[in-house]
Amino acid sequence: MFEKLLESPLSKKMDERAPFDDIVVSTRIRLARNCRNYPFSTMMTEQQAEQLIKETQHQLEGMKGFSFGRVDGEDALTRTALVEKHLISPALASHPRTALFISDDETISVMVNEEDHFRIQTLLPGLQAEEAFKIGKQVDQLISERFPLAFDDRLGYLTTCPSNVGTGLRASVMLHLPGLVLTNQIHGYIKRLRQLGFAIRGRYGEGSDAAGRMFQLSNQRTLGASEEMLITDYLFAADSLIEAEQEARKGLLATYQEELEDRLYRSYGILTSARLITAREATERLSDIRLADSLGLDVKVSPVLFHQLLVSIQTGFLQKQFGKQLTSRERDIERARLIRTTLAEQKNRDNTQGGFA
Amino acid sequence: MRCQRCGKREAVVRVKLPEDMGQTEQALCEVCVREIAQQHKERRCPNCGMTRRQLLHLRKVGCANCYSFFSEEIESMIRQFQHGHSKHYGTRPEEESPERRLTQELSRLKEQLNRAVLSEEYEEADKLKRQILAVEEDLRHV
Repeated sequence: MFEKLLESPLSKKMDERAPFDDIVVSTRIRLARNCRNYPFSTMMTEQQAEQLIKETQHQLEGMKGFSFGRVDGEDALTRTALVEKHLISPALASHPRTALFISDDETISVMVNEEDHFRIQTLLPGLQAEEAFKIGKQVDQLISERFPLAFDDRLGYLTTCPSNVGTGLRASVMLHLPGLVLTNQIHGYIKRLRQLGFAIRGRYGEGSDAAGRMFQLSNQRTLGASEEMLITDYLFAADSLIEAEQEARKGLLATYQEELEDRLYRSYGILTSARLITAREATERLSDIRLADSLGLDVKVSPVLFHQLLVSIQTGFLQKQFGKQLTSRERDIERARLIRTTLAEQKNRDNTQGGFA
Repeated sequence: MRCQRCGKREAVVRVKLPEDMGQTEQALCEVCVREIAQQHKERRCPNCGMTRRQLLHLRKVGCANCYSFFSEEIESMIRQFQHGHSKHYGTRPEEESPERRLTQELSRLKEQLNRAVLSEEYEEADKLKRQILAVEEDLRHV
């Protein structure tokens, strides 16, 4: 049932332009929920896990606009590709007895038998935390009308890990921060945000080594404030990063214009000519050309195209598109080919639309 | 050799202390060994079977009941994870609608009735029939 989900690297919704998408790639809101009549994942037997899936299937399958399917029955390649598309978590992909309930537009899903019985997850492009929460809350309601949830008047929603107790709400945005990385300011921001109770880590790799300069910012506290307040605080933190990144980009252009342009155009040259490229290098070069576009250089890579390429060059997705297992060398060849043809198509489109030559 | 714990009585045995007491090996007297064993009798959640040791080791909870059974341990974890906060101010789950609850109860009872009739347990079937009528009556009033 997941074949349809893997036909394209981005969901329809992610194909749209969105607020701050020059810097913020996507926003995810997750709500952790558990049933009070089952042990949590730590103490659950296989039979109980199976029974919860059956019950969920019975309650949710066939709902209009959604589909329900087993994740544990899929092959490893499909599961990896689902993780790369951010539709499921790495934990769900590796657990036995798991299922996914997902809307047809792929914006909202419920992972069954992750660390918590239910992980409700909304994924939207750009910075849209409030919108994502609203959508997530609707499915939360759906779940709470059908299952007796573990809830305590004083502690709120009870979760497997006490770090999620209360609202069970985790917001995380993926940010593209080449300016802060190239100006060596990222470490300072990571430190400061951690002190304020936010987690920030490299999406691919750690710290300033983060290939592609993609970072994930998320709140750590889930208790002691309403969902709206947690999101407001969170948005302040995200805003501070966005503003700093905008400043850093301006500063780079003002001080090192030739050096910067040289670097970015070279990356464009490599991506349009390379015959073999690793995921790591490709991610970094793609980050360069996205930055080039956002600074107004003669390279057209929209936020959507950037995001689309970031997903489709990943190991699992690449092989899934190809329909079979590839060796690492074959992957490097296909990755280079995919990027070359995509960028060439883009250039043709721009030319016929009378864009930059 | 004297007991390393009380320093008074004669040590009779060398034992490795449990994790939360430092895991060192000590020579102990009979009284102290018994005391330590008593202290470390495993507490276990009666609902899911998670032990105190598992809880402290995993730093994850076994079921909803653990939150009250191991309240002291879990509250301490919560204070650490949640930067000192200990009270929920967010939303509550929507209550299950009474209609839905009663409809489910009804189908469960009908299933039981069917089984009772098939196995010729007429007394049981009669009881179930009365229950079904009562639930149907309740359903008319929601």
